Amino acid sequence: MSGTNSNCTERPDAVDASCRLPVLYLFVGGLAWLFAGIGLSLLAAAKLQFPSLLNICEGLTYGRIDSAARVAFTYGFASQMGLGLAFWILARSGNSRLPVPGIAFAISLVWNVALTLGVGALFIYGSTGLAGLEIPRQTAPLILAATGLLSVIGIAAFAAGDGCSKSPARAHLLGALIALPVLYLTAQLGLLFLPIRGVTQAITAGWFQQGFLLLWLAPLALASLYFFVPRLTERPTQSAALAPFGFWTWVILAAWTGAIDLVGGPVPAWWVTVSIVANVLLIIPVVIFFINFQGACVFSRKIAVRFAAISVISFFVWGILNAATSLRCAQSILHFTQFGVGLRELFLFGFIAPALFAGVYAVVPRLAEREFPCRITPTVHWVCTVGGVALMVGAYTVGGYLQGRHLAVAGVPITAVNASLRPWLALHAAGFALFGFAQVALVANSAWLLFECVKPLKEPVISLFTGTQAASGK
Amino acid sequence: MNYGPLIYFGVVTSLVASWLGFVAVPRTQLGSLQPDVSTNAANAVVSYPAARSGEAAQGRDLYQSLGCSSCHTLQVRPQTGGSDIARGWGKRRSVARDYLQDPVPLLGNSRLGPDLANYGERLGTNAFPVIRLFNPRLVTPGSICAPVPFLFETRPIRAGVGSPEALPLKGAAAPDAGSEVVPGLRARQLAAFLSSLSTSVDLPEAALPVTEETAQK
Repeated sequence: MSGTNSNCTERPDAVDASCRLPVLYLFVGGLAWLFAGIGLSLLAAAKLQFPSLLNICEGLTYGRIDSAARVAFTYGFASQMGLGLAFWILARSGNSRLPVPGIAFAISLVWNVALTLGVGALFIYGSTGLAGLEIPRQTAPLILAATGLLSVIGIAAFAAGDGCSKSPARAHLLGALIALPVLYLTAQLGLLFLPIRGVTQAITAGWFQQGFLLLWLAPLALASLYFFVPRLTERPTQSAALAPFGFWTWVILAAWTGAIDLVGGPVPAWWVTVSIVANVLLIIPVVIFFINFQGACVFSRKIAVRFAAISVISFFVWGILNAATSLRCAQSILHFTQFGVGLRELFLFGFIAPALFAGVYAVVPRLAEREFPCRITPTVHWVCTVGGVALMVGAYTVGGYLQGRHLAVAGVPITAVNASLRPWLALHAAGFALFGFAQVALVANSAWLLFECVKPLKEPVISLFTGTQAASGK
Repeated sequence: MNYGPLIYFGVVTSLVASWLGFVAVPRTQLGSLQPDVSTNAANAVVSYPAARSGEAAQGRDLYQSLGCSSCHTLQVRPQTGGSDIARGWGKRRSVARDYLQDPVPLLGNSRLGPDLANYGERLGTNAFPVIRLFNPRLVTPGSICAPVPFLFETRPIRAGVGSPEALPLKGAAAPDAGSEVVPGLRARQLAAFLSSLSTSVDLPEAALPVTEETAQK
């Protein structure tokens, strides 16, 4: 998988060895947060069906559980797993060892502790009321500091590369690693510590939230696709010349999409109009990415390619829906409904998560120096992920549209709107449960792999007690 | 594509440009916005939005902390942008000035529950039915709003005389004989905040619709 340029200085196994500890730790951490998020989301879904469930204390209100689930998915799962993947891709494509792997591991550990404290603070003190920046200010700076340091290590990994690889993956990763600390620092200063006044906070929060999704998480997923799809399908990227165009249009347009949630809101209309234009124009880089990744959309026995295919298709569908529903005429029906949640889930669980899973299936065997032992669970993982995401997104897009149609009729009371929405909420919860079951398959396979890795280590230890080693020694 | 400095410069420029557009310019445009000062029918000078009472301000913090914004919005869209005004959720669209007294504008982004921007006004002269917080379904059957009973206190009836604030609970919801359920301090704060919600003030940038009464004046 590595380049073959004569300048390449490190052997692939030496590069893998340098990445092993931090990258595997970030993968395990990401998976743990994914389960935490799924558990919290299912609890939130149950509370929508049974509002009196667990209403014993304020730590378990729907609002706090829902916020904590979002944090678990975006910060805990996607950011962490994406960062692990970024470290490996940068080191491997640059043919250089990951700089300071021990420190990277230690900071990742601190990052997880900080995030756990942050979610704990969210349950105890409640949300900040700002979407995308829910973690209270007591713990947010620690997460920022750890995030900044991890980004610096990633940038150092980019700089340490020997320049052999011209993969667009490296450009996307560098862009993401630069964007995250800038966005997070600016948002924390302007919203948590030196808050600006009135509704301008909502615009800044939107700017951060969209930036986090589109300029941090999306480039991580796109980098995974750019790196793995050509190698696994053994077909080059469709048009290497289009890649920089896609990258730059994405970077320029995505930064201006932030005010889309304020359509009809109490802000001057021009900000919203700028965001609508940016969201519609975003279809250009989406089409470019689709052209470049269409090679992934073929039947393949490789599980990583199958996940990449789902990611590519979801991204394209998301791009079309996002552009079409950004318009004011669509927003007058869909705004404030579950449709927006469904679209975001399509982005997060349909596009980002499968791109990361593709990376996990490609990278973990190299780090563990053996293949995943079970051949059935990856297929179960893929089928249930696809089914779960389709159910989730289908339920919320269709249910959300119907909810919007009902809300648009002034004579339909909210209780009637919600009564017709409840089956869709239940279907969405079923989709989430299926998605959760899919991840159990991944964990089971990973646990088996771990067992296989430690078995050779365990046998000599066991033999010390059983005496077999002494006997064989004779 | 591996031009590190170019990528660094491009990404930072894009972020700075959008930051100028979405953060710096809004601050310039709206940062100097002041409450609207006018005289009412009794010739008294009134300021809108007025600072909330201490109890209502603490109730606002509780509304934020409990995550009520997950299901409720505090914004009314213009007549052309939805059915908000037709539903009676407000007489005019919400504008930036409405949020000047809020440390964090809790606009909300989901309407699993109704908009509350003018909830206090919808109550009219009635007091806020605190029982709605204890269990919304006792007031609105079929509601999916989460109850917050932990803001209430179940206590023995003192000296045989029930509290005037005790909730009129019946059937399965009723407490044990000799006990009563009364709203705690925080339930009263939340009720004070919800009762204070009203934006029906004529502003230069968002006029109230002309009614027969105002037309005659």
